[in-house]
Amino acid sequence: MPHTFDEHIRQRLEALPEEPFHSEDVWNRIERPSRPSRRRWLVPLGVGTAAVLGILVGYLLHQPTTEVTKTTPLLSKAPDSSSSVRIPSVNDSVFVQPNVVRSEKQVPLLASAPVEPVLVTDSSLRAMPAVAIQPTPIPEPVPRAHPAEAETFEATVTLTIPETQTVPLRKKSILARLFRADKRPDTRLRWQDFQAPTSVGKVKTDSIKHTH
Amino acid sequence: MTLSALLDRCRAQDAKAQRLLYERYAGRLFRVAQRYMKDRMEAEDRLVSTFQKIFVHLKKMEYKDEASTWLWMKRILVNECLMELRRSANFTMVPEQEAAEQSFDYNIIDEIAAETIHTLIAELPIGYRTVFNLVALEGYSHAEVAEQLQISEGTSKSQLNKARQLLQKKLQTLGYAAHIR
Repeated sequence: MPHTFDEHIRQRLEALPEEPFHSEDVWNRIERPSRPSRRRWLVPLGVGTAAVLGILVGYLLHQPTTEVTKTTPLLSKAPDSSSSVRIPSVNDSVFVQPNVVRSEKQVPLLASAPVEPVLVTDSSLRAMPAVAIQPTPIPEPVPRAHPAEAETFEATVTLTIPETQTVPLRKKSILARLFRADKRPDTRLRWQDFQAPTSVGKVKTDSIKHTH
Repeated sequence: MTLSALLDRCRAQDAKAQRLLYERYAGRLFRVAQRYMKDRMEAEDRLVSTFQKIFVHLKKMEYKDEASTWLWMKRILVNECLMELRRSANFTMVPEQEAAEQSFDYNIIDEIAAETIHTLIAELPIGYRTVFNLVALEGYSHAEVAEQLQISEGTSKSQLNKARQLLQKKLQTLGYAAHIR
């Protein structure tokens, strides 16, 4: 014997009108069984579109906001917070401008000019904070042993490159940037946390030899 | 055209007659499929496989009357839905104690739209929904349900009672809201 509740529900549902659906699509699939279901292409199409959009948005978001050009002073640019900058070793970071051969009169002018240290990073030129390297002292001319000998200068350069060779910076993934899922506190050093250490020692540079 | 004549033409592989039969029953069958499958596209998939089977097995079907033809087609559809549910869902339901009957005002059912009742059934958990559809709406016995879903009769009974309780609770909430309005 049917339950009273069930009977009431059944009577109400029998009165329901037919619900519209993709009748033509269903009939086409009944006629041609090989015809794929809408789901078969709708789902991959949706996933594919979402993936393409995700990659596109991620690519756009991942673009650095500053560009270093030849005309832009490097020191005015802070490194992009999302990029990992490798601070090279002392030997690599010594900036030696090729073919710098200057007369004695030009030396004071050179010494007073602002030093713009350029560090070579993984893929492009990056600037260090201005405090990283002290201005180079005035090179002193070395007395010639013989009048025909080439003019020589010597200078002591104090480098303040930190001992740490690689400073991993906070790098958010594209997905984390998109969905703000990167909730874990990042304890790694960031540029804001970076402080120029005190002088770690003195390095005597090779003298620049002037040949006539 | 009478249904008997239409079925004869369908048996003779008349494409137009098959289309007519489809248009006559597809809407109602889709409603039934939606009660089981919930997802519209899954319900459409079951409709496709049901009509393919109907056209294949029509030769063996003996026509009695319109009601029995409808029940025959509905039975094929329900079997198709159950096959899919068994394939995709876990029917290893744990037997629960039979729930005690609770008092329920049946007038509430008349106050709520049939479409809403249909939605409430579709929103039931899959086990409750399937057993409720089979026993309460299709008239299957608990023994048949137990065999179809490979569960015990006790489980079928408890699932049905739980389904009724949950549905009554939802209907009462809606009916109470309707009274306030």
